[in-house]
Amino acid sequence: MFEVPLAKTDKNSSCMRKVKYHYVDVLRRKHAEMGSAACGNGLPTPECSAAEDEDNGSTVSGDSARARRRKRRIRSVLGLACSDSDYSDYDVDEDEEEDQNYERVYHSMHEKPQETFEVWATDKRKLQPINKNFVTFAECHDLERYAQRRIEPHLARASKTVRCSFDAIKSGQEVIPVRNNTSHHMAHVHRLNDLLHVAVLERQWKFAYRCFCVLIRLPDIDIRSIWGLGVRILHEMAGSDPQIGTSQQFLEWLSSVYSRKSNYNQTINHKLDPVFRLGSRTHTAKFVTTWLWEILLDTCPNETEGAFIGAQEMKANERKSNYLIEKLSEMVLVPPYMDDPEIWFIYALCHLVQADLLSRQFLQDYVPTNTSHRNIASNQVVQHITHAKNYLSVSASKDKNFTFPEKAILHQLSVFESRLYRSDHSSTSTNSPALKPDAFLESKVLDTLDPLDADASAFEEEQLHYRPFETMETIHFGQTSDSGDTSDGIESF
Amino acid sequence: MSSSLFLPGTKGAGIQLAAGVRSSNLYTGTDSAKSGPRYRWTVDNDFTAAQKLGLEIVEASQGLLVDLEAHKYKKSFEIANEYEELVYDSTSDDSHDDVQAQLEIDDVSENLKGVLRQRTKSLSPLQEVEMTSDKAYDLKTEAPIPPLNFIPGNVISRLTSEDPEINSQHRDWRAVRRDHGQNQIQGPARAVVSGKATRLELCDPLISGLLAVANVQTSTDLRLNRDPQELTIFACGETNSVLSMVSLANLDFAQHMEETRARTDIYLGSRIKRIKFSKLSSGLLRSSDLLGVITESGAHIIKILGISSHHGVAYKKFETLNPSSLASFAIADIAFNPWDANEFAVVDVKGNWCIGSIVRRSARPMGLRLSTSKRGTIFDLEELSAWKLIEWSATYNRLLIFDRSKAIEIFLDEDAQLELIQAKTWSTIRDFRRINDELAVLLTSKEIIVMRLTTLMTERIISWHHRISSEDVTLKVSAKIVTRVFDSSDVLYVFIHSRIKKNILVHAFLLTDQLVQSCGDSFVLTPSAPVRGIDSIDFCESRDVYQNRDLEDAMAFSLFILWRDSESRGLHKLMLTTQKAEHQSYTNCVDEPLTLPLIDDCLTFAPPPDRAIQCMISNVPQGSNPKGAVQDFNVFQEYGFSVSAAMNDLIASWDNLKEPRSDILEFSAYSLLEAAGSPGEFQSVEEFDSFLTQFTDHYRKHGIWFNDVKSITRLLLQKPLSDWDSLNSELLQCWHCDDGLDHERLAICREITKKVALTSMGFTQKESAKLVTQQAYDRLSEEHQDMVALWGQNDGDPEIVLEAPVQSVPLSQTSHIPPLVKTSQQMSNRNQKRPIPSKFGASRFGTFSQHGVESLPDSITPAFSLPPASQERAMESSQSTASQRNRRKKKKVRGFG
Repeated sequence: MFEVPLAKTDKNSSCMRKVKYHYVDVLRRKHAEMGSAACGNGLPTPECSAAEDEDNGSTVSGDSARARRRKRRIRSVLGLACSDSDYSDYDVDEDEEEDQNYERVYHSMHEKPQETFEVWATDKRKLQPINKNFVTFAECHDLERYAQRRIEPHLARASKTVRCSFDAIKSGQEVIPVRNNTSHHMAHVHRLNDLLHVAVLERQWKFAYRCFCVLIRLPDIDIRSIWGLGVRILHEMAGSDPQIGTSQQFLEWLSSVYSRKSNYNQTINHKLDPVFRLGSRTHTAKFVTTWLWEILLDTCPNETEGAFIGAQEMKANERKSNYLIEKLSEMVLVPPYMDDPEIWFIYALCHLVQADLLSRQFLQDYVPTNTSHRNIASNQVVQHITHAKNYLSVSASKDKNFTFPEKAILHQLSVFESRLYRSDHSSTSTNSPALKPDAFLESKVLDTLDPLDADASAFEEEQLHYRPFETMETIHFGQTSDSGDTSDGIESF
Repeated sequence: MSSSLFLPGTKGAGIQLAAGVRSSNLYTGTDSAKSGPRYRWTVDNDFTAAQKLGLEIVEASQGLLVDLEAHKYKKSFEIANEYEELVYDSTSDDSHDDVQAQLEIDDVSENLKGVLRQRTKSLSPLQEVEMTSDKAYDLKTEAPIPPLNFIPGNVISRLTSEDPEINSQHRDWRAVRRDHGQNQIQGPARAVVSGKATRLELCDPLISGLLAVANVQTSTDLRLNRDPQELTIFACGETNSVLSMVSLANLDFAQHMEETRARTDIYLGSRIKRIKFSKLSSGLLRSSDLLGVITESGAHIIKILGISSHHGVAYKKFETLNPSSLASFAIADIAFNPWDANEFAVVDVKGNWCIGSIVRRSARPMGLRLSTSKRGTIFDLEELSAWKLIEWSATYNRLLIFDRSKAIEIFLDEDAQLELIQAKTWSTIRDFRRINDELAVLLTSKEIIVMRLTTLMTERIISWHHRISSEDVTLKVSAKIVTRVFDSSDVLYVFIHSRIKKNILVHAFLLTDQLVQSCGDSFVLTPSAPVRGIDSIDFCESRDVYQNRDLEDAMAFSLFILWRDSESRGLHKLMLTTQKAEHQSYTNCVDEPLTLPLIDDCLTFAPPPDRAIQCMISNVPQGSNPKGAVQDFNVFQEYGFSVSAAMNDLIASWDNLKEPRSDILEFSAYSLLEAAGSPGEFQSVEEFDSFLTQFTDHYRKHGIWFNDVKSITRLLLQKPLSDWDSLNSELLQCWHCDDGLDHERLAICREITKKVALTSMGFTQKESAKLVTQQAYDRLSEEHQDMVALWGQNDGDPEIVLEAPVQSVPLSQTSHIPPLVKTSQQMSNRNQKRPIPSKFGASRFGTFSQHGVESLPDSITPAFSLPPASQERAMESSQSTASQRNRRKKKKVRGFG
């Protein structure tokens, strides 16, 4: 019922694949041959026919015909008279084809994507004219008959299951393989895998945990195929047993153990897909991004109603966030992360979250009243805002297909920046510890949907009116401070 | 939440999610509107919303709505009722049996009577008495077409041809069909071909969706400004060739539909493969009245003219679209233009597609016309499956055509096409469902993908890795949007079902303007009907119940679902509700003891356990706690007496046979259990072991051979154990328990040890064995005797044999040498250069014969007869050359086997 986390090596299915791909290959060759013949004969101009005669056509075709005739004669002498002339047609190149791995030939012609299971066209420039020529019954019938004749000798020694399956598939039917567990081990793996999935679907986490633990210890099981289930189970089991590791630890382990340095080779026939399983030099593994997201979401969890953040928690969150920023700053120096817009986006979000956390201090009771502390805090906020903007722009430049709601994020950043002014105003004018920023923010800043220009002017007005940082020498906010920090930020890349 | 908000993602990949995977989130800042700050994220997988969106089956709502099997035998039931009395008066031979059966009923207990009487009714011989009203179908009614599946002719010819083995498989195949009864044949064109060597299940990919619930608004309804009516359309009949339409309006679903409704049947004369009802764009503010039906012989378009719950459905059938009108291939799918009720598109099994229109001219009032310009093909040589699907895309002039390995978008106005999806490597396309003008769901063998159909491009937004085995080719998808579940959010439920499993996997997505999020994990629904799989699911929107929504909370609702099983037993109804789901804890992590009710559920996912396992379970002995050492002593004493007596009898009988007739080979061996049964329960296995050792030692002196404990345990556990007590200890280690071993477990292990010991301790008389061997040897031909003698020569010193000259055995003899035991060298050399295994036994013998170890004496344990290193190399090289030779030979044969 469910995907088994191992590469299956079933004799029948591999044999079936061989036959199928061979058949497809024969069809393709024949079709190409027919197509070229049709093209050649399509325009019976004198030039065309003359060129054909002059070219190798006469010699090569003559040679091959002679060789074929000789072969047929030898066959007749040896008592292997073959009445069907079609057989002799392909005897010539038969030996050449013998060593070919048709499955590899098939897969070499198609891109094996790493990001998705399928190749999705995202560019309308790939439009092609409509293929208006119907495939006729006669043409198809000829092709299939020819391919069937070619494949028949190869089927002679195949098992009955393969022959029946092939006959069915060839005629457009589909085959549901009846699971035939050849070993107790496979039966065990299948049953355990089914139990694991059912337990996860039924949300029986303890049961699922047991299944998962057993399954990953069995030989040949690829833990990278089921790490998602493991994360889900560990996430739910968190807190139930102190001996059980957390999902973050598991993801960290995966990220450190499984190499991101391997090259993804398109020419290899991979048995399992890399989409959720693997990372390579050009593809960030999903467990790495999941790990980063988990830490980030853990830093500031999406709170439900009634749960608010205390001062202690905020400090703890800040520490976690700093750890994540450090981690990311190292990651973005090496491939594949340096070219992955998602990693840069997470990096930008880290700074966004930090900017939010720090700027909140200006709305809270424990706002540092000391001017120098206030300066340091506001500088930090500005730095984070600048970094966030930088990394967002890097993220956008890495891949043009990567989209994110830029306007909404920039608007947020402007709101964070405005908090610095608001808090100063309120503390100086009212001296009230409990801040009520809403009315002011909404009237003055939040309405400015166009983020920076409008905000900057609003801020200037505020500054003039309230004289917020009288003691400070020079403070640059917003766009003015961007330029210097941007260059620093870019240099640090 | 801003209306322009969307989650970050890459075009062409979107947001890729799976259980435990995070892909794309967005921070929307802290919210300080209330008494303190709260972080606000827009997450890719919203578990909070998911808690309110879980669906559960309302058990009481489940049931059979239309019994398709009953319909098949309806006539016979009616006739049986009518002529119930006649059964007793009948004098014919056939009915006599029935009378007899009826008389026997009296002897059966009262509660069984009703059931049996019902059965005798269905067996009434008079069922064929009534003449059918419609003469055209006389033949069909009298001698129904044998309900056989379509199986490709060459598959049948393979099954029925050649050797007796295949014939036996054919028999098996028939047997399977008989076991599964009619239902299997009526369902998806499926044939189970099973046997010892061949087991496969064929499936016609074109057959799907034999049920549709349509909102029909006829032209009369439009004129009178009436709302659309719900119509259930399904295939029925012995060969699924009858299209049946029933109105569901004002129907009390507690009743059986058959009894209250007038059904309209259309005999299409060919098996129905797909039913598709036209669905118009929501912008047109009306429903359609056109129905497309794909049969084996072509495509039919039916226009509904009027619906009456008592008089049935009035319809008009357009002329059949034959395969010859396209390119002489069977038509695979039909789609109707959502913006133009008169336009449709068809695609055949090879991918030739064409736009057609319904002709409204008076000269051909029932005509269909195919366009000569708007046509083309997506034919792909690499695609062998006949499955094709066609649907309109985002606009009037765009079409989506699918086969298993690609999706092509056709831009008719630009006269261009785009290969939107190429799925030739990791996954294949399973199904596609267009939900509305903006959204569609694509099901691949790996993922559920929500697609957005925009005027610019068709985009992939979000996907969920469903983890269902990619081997299941019968997966289908149905989708339903429930609007305004939250304040500004809709919920898209995606149902995945299969024809070979009756579980429905459901995954929910949350739609908020441009933002699409996943809603927690998937969940499974399992209908209670005893069927194998689900063919199609559709939704009765008029029966859905929506409750008023609180300001903060999600709306509670119930969905009414009709589904058809894959065996065509009937149409089933089902109600899903969210109301119970609120009570259910999603973090079900409380410290409960692990219970096993799950096993019952999961068995529906996997085939039931093997008979062998069931048999083993039933053979596990029940242990009890015996008294103690004193009782052990008595038990062994009694058993020792009985087993000695039995042994003495046997020895006496063997002595009588010492001079047997020369032409009879007498040889017998017994196990202790056969000879003297089993002792009672005891406590000490050590004592039992000691008892057996003493017993065997004693009788060995009298020339009786016993099985060795070591050899028995090597066979059982792959390692030799010195005594039975060790086996008992090994068994005890199998229990995984933290709380120590209780008496019951100890007793069970003891019982197993005892049983194993007694059944495997075989014995026989040494002399008789020798005698029999000698007799057998004498009966051999001279050539074979020489060979056996040669075997005997090696009995002496294995070293000598190994160092014997390479050519010591003539090649002519090698072919007669019996199969040899595998040597340990092959196993131990796994990491070294490994010769390619040959398929030909003879060549293998040839290889070993060069070293003279082809005939290992039975006294030598082959696993330990390692040759010296130099010889080993020689052996390797010779094996590799031999295998090369074999490989060349194999090439010439060109086989796959």
